[in-house]
Amino acid sequence: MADQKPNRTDAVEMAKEVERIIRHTPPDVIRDMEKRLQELRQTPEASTSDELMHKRAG
Amino acid sequence: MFERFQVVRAADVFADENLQPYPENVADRLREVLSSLDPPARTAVIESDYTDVDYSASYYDQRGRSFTPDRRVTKRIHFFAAEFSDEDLIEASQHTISTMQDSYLGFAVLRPETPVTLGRTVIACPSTIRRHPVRFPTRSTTKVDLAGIPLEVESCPYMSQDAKIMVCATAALWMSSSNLVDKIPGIPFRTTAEITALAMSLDRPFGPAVVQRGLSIVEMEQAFIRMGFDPRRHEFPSADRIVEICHLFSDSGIPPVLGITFGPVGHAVTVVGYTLGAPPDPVPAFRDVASAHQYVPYLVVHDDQRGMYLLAELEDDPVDGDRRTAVLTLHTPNGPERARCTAILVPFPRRVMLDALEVTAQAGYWIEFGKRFGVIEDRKVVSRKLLVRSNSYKQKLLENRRSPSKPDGYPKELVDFARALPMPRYVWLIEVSYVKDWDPTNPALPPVIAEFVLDSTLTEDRRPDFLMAHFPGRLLGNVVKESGVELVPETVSDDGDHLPFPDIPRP
Repeated sequence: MADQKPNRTDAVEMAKEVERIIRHTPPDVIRDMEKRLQELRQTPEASTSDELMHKRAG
Repeated sequence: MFERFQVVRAADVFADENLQPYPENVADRLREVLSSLDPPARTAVIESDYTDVDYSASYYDQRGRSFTPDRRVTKRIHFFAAEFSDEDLIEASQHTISTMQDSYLGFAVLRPETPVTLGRTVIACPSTIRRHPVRFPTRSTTKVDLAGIPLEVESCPYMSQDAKIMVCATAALWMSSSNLVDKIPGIPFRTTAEITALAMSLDRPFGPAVVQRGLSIVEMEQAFIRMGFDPRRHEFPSADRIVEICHLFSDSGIPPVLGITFGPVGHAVTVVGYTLGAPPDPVPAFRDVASAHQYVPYLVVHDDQRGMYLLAELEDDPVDGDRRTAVLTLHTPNGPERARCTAILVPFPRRVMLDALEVTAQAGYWIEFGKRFGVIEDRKVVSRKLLVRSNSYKQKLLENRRSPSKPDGYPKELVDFARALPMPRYVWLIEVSYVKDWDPTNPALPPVIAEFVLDSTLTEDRRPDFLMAHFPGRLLGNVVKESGVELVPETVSDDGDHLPFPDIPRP
């Protein structure tokens, strides 16, 4: 564990930053999340042949 | 009166050609699984004239309407690891009842067709397949009555198609949905006859149409919707995405269905479990966060034409240029067979809005946040994600509270904090561990150093959010109240690693 001795002040400081991110969501946070989603969605997908998509499973 | 029950050696059932279901692959694999269980099947009880719920539904919709009708009843064969006789079954002493209950391995229904096919089959999950330890978080408990003796088995239900009223896609949908009846409120048990009708929008008895045409992925999706799910469809996924989605939902107790093609022939299989092994070295990581699915070398699938509990490997195969297709290699009793994967279909519970990919993005954001605050070490971590009933999450926390006899249990402050926090019916749980703590030679999951509970009904995917965050030594909860949402911070004095969320079947 990085910090073995947490105290209440640490938790309150952290909470203030979480409040800022969740309740007021600054534009840089939105951009960061957009980038993450974009990078995750960029995983190479397979070919998009309509022929395969309309194949019936019997 | 007991003539319809016949106690025989399991080996006699395996040797009797009249009791071997078609196709041969399915019979071979059933025999292989029953012989490889630890302990293996030694005794079988053949129950003749058994009225099976699934077979009779299709009988009354189609077979029973023929001018020359088929037989209405099936044979059900029960398997046991212990040895006992006809007399023991009739006598049913307390000793025999306990022996039968303790050694029950499940049953297989044989449809009275020519050739015989395998109907509803519930066989205990093997602990290893080809020497690989296997995990089956999708398993469920089936209760059985054998001449007044109550029996139970934990299994992933299986069946093969009858090629009359149902096809492989119907069997795959049934193998997924029948496992979810006791896990997702509002999902009724559906027979395969009903599933075919839901997929094809039929409100009449069946013609031969379904056998000649099969079901498209869209029709399969429609069947799930009409059963009460909000299914998610992933088209042409990469090999990595397939393993990620299948691992994640297996861990959530939900068996995904894969649409695949063997050459020109469309097919469908159901994912019921996976194996854990050594990840590639170095572990590939997205922004220093590896995913638990990278430790999964094999998925375990039910294939209605090739048998139950089969190992499946995935790899990407370049088609041309940047295009590629995921190739699935199924290890069948007759050797490996390769197919291309065209789609994943996941039967989501209703009102789960937040998608798996969005959960991954949220997990990455909060892990980096923890590193920035110095509460998570700046080293490679691995995250495991699962969708879980919030009441089940709270119950498991309480059951596994830290104590002298359970030193790796959940810290008391975390348990109390989570129990008191209002949550929706389903939450996403993200567990974070250090890569260094994951021992690839040990199939157990690594200890958890931090976790996040996300609201599964969130619709905003660009705003980081959580209901509860547990960083080492710290707890943060977003308490949803009439007056709004209030953030509550807490410290955890007795913190430290704890065990991962137990992968038991969820109620």
